[in-house]
Amino acid sequence: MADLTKLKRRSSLGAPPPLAEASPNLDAPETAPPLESTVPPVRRMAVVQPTAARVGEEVPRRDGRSARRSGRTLQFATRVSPEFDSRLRSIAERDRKLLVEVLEDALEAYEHSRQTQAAR
Amino acid sequence: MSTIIAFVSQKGGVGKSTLARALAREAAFGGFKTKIADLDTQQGTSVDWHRTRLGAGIEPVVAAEAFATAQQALKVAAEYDLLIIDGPARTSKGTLAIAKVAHLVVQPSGASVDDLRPAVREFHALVNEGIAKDKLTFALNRIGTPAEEAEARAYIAEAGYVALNGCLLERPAYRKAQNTGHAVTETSYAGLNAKADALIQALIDKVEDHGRSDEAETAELARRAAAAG
Repeated sequence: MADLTKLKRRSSLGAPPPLAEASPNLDAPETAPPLESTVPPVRRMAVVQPTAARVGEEVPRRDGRSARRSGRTLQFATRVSPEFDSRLRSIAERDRKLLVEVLEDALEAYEHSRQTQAAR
Repeated sequence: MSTIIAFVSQKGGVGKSTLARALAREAAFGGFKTKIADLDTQQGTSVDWHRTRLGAGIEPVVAAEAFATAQQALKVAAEYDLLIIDGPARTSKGTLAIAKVAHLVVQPSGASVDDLRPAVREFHALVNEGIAKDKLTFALNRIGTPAEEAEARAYIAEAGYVALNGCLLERPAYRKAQNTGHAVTETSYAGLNAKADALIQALIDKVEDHGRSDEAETAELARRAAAAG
């Protein structure tokens, strides 16, 4: 039988790339840039309709913190006495309103009172 | 002067850490003060393996440490007989910095054209940057058949590079050994250990050959300088 070891078989791998096809990776910075996925995405919060959904709820204390961020409201913080806090929350609880709704009503009443006094 | 051997690749899973560990194990066993510099800080494969090995109480202890950059790793080279750089799964400016100082740059590769073609491109890039071809070598890994090995070897030769004699076969026993903190020269199978050992020996011989060619080149330069003077 003929010795075929000197004959080269056809390669299934094809020809290797020439020197001109060198990788461009050596120009890359040594420290890999952070993955985009490591940056937390900006979450768009759902808008909820507070009053309609909360009227029937059995919640002992409702302070409005569960209202979702939507741009319709902004943070409003101040320091009050424990008595004022207790009074405000009790009214809100009794009337099933949010604290802000009681404050809005109070502000309306104050403005109305001023107008009434001015009219006299 | 310490010896620096680097395992590099643009890809993950080609066998950089596998070969780095095996070389480190054999060198440590031979009494060399050896360190694996794991440059893949995101995965820390060799550092994790080192921890597993320590936990299992396997001798010899093979030191491994994570470094963020090649420069940091190279700074500690003088403290060791052998510094083994286990590169990240990407090539960059750091790869070139390593290749400039390493005595041998090993790029493991599988036998598929998907592995070989990009691997050849990476070595082309190093050659274009002035890295001597004789310190770049391929190591064939995850080989299925002798025919597959021969074909991959021919492809590498046609591209102008060499592959180390021997190869690592695709065997679950190699993975199993490494899962428990062993090197691929420490499996439960003598035949597989011998195969892995032959590849590591070829790697060591290659470093020695390269060292000899360096010495010969230095001697030749000295002879020419003397003749000219």
